[in-house]
Amino acid sequence: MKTLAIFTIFVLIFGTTSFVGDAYAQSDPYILLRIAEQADKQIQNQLDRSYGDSIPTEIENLYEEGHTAVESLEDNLKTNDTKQAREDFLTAMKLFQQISRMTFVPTTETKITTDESDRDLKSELNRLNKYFQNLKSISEKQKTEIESKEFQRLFTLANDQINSDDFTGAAQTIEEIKVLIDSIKQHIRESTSNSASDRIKEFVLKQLERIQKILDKADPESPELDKANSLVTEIERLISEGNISDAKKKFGELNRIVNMIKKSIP
Amino acid sequence: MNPEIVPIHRKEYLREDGMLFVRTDGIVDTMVKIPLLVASMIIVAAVMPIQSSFSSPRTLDLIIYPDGSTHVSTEIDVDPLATDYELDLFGSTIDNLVAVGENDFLLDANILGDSALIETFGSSVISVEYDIHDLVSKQGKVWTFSLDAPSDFTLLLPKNSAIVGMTSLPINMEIINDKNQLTLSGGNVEINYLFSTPVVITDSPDVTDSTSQPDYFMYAVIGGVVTVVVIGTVVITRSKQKIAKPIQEQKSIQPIQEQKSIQPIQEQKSIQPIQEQKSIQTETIDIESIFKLKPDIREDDKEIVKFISNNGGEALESELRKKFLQPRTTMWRAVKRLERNGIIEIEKKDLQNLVKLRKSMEEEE
Repeated sequence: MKTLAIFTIFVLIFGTTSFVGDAYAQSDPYILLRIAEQADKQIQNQLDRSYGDSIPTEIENLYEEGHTAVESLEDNLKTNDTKQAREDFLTAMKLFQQISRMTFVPTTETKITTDESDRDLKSELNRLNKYFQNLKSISEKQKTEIESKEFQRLFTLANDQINSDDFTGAAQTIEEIKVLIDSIKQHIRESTSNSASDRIKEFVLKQLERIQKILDKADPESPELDKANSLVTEIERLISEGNISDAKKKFGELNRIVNMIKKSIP
Repeated sequence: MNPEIVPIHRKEYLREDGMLFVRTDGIVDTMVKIPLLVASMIIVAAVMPIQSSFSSPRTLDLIIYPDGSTHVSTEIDVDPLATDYELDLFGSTIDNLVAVGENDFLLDANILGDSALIETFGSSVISVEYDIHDLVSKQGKVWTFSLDAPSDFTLLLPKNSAIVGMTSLPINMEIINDKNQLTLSGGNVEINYLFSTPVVITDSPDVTDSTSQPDYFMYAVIGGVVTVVVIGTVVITRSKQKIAKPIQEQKSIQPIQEQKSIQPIQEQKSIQPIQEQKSIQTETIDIESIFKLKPDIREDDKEIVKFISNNGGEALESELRKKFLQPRTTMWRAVKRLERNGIIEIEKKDLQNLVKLRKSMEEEE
């Protein structure tokens, strides 16, 4: 028995530490060097473009520090000092971040991408394509026919319009795609409504059984009990009538009351 | 007489430093019911993963589009006994949300601010996809992605984007269709990136940099002017030589030898290598003395000094870049290092940096 206890403790320790341990586990530390070197080159090129031979001293000093940190990162990776390499990486990236903010960010201009003007049509078209592909995948699994060809036609048209700089035309086509996708989504809902209703019905009936057991334990004097029992009856009736939508609403109401009753049960 | 009852642990002596050591053997046996302990531990071990998995994403994948909008795909374990699940979205500007339950049922979802109420009705796993416009902001040329991630996640950056800042350590990085995909730990993450053309990323000297084009034009103009000046100087010198020839002959040639007009030039030519040798020797000595005075100078910097010295003691920074095939900033840093060491001085010449070897280095030292 003692052995069993020790074994359980071991399992617990190693089992639980695995949840904590995966907070940071790097696969290849040389990734840090790749990213840092890429950032270093990028900053160098951007400084070159922005300032030519006259880089401000403050920025130049920051760059020097950042570049030195990248060199140190490389050296530490060679000597397998991963801890120091990580610190070097963070130092370098922090300095490059500082440089990029000082150099490429005008003090007056701040833009958040929620601004419509920043959303390019190509990205919007790609997002809609991904949305459509999701719905298509659902429809295939549910064996529901959808307007794939029409989507393809509009997608190709919008793409061609973007490529030929017809942005007004492309924007209109994108609007048509949005309407089409909404109708596709609605169509999938309607087509799968029967099976969805069955699923909900099955779920609600199972839950009603569970709820009934809770109500049996409740204080008979509880004011909520009568209300809960009448809701159970009503939900059963709605389900038998096939009115799943109302049954869902009533079920939500019942759940709230049951939670109150649960608290009063000793 | 009854012997005095002494607890087992009293038999242990107290050490000199006053620390009390208590025997732990048997405590588990005597104080705790082992079956109870084992049962409770098993329950804890079994429940822990379930507790930790509910409401936390199994997977979280993000794709950033070139306009900064982000596609989020996540798979979440939910309570199968619950009727709905309130998903915290990463912002409030949401498009194209699709929630799918087990057996690929399209689930009803209502977006309320920065959360979505999804009707799960018995599903134990749901997958949700949506587009969001709150995760990336743009200031000037710099795009910033920031997220307080509930779990580890992957982030696919747009094509031609280059990371220039990062606040956390990545777990992994892969290249997928010429795009960087990072795997990052949960928690606060901020990544800054810029869009670059492939030309900018490469460090090759063949790169055609648009900003360097005016330089070539300038070089051509300067080269033209220099050529005209050199030709003019040669013509003037020759005409002067013709005039001065009899005097030179008198000075340099012995009266007995009758020389042709070309002879003085030949003599000049024969003398020239000696002069060159002398000047090179002097310069070599100068360079060596510089290197002796500055033993810590880097090897690549020494090469630059040698080149400047062989180039008459001065060179344009652009010439150095061409010679050593270095990008501007790298050469600029090298030149700055040499300037800090007092080896060279930088002068502005026609919007260019003229790098000169300092003559009075020793005095200043």
